[in-house]
Amino acid sequence: MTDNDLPDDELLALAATRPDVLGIIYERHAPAVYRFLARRVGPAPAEDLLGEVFEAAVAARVRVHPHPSGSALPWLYGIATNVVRSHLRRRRTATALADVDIVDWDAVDARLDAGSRRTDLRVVLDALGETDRELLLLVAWDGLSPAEAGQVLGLSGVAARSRLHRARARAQAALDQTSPAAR
Amino acid sequence: MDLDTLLRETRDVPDASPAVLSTARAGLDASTGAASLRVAATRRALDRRRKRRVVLGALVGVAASAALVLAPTFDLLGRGPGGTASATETLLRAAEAAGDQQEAWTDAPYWHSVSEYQDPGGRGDTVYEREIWLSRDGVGILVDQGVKDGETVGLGPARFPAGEGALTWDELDALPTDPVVLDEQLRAGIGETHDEDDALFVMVGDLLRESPASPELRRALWEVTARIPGITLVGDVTDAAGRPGVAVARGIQQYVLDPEDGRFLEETLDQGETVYRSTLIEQGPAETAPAAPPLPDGCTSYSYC
Repeated sequence: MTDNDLPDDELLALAATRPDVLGIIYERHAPAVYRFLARRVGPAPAEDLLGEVFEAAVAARVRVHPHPSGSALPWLYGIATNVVRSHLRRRRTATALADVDIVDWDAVDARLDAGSRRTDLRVVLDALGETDRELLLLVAWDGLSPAEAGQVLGLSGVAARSRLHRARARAQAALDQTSPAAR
Repeated sequence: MDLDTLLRETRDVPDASPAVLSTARAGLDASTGAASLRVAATRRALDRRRKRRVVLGALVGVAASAALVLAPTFDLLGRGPGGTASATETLLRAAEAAGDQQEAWTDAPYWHSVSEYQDPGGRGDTVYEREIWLSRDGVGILVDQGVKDGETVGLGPARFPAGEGALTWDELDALPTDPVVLDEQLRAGIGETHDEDDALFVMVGDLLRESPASPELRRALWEVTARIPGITLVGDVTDAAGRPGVAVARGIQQYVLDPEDGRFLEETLDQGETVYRSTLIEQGPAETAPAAPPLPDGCTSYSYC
């Protein structure tokens, strides 16, 4: 069996003393991490931030605790979330520092061509707190299980499922108020 | 609108282009490369610490006189088969590369070498670290974990073993660099021996290890080695420091060299099993050396005491 045959969690267990195995993790997951970034900050900044995520992963590899699912994606998305926050913080003016978001709304607006979709998405996400918003997106946009998304956000699997259930209900209610005829 | 439909329809983004993926991968490789070096450095540091503890624990009470024998001497008994073309080719290649080692040869007052050695035939499996600053005319310094528990030891002006006698630094500088003439001169310094070729092979190693021999002299020394009958090519090896090299041997004595740059990397003595190993980690000129310890009572110099 070669390193390429090892599952993510075994590679991450090796990474502390074998940083090179992160190259295999990269080949498996860089496209997904790029999409994660592009959804939140737009394609052009995502191109720059992709490298930042994996370089941060090299430093973070000594502390990694893979999710029981075995996938490295929850860990990588957690790092990517921090990278997105730092990126947005750098872009904001000093007066807006307290309102750092996890999504660049200008970028989201720019990539959604249908005006109604932009409006609806804003309504849905505005109805949620930051943690619930990211929980919803990690599951719906990035394909994590609720438990994996919970790990990214520091929530237990049970808490993540419960919060996700309530968040979805609130989001749907907000959406219904905006466009009741569309239901 | 249904929430799942909205989230699905806002999910799609274009994939990263191959150029973007390739660029980020290059950045990752640079980071993992640097991290790997740090891991290796940490391991070496831990190994050194562990070995130092072992040495200090094992050698308490071992005394060594100030008149130090810096390199063990061995009775070289074995005699290998006739020299092989491949050994000669390897040595001539190393000679040419060594002649190109122009950098870093200066008139610096010290020649600094770092090595480690093991003496399973005499002192067990302990690995001893050794660092020496040879001085042309003044006081040299030796810090050898196998000598006086690694205390800093003062040495007289450098002497380089050469057959029955020893050469001063100036005499080393004056050695001929024509391989035929050098061969004759070195053989003339060999006393009575059962095997002059073996003695010459040993002498060449002595003049390459912990030695400020010029690139021209190094070239000539490897060329002399290539002329010695009975040298065999052992083949590609990795030395104890993890460096790739090529080993050549005569009898029980084996040298590992880097044919790409002509560096002398390691020597071993093998009598069915390795009875001695010395790995030269680095050597080069130095402007300074650690302070010399006080002369022992009753001594007038570090050379004669």
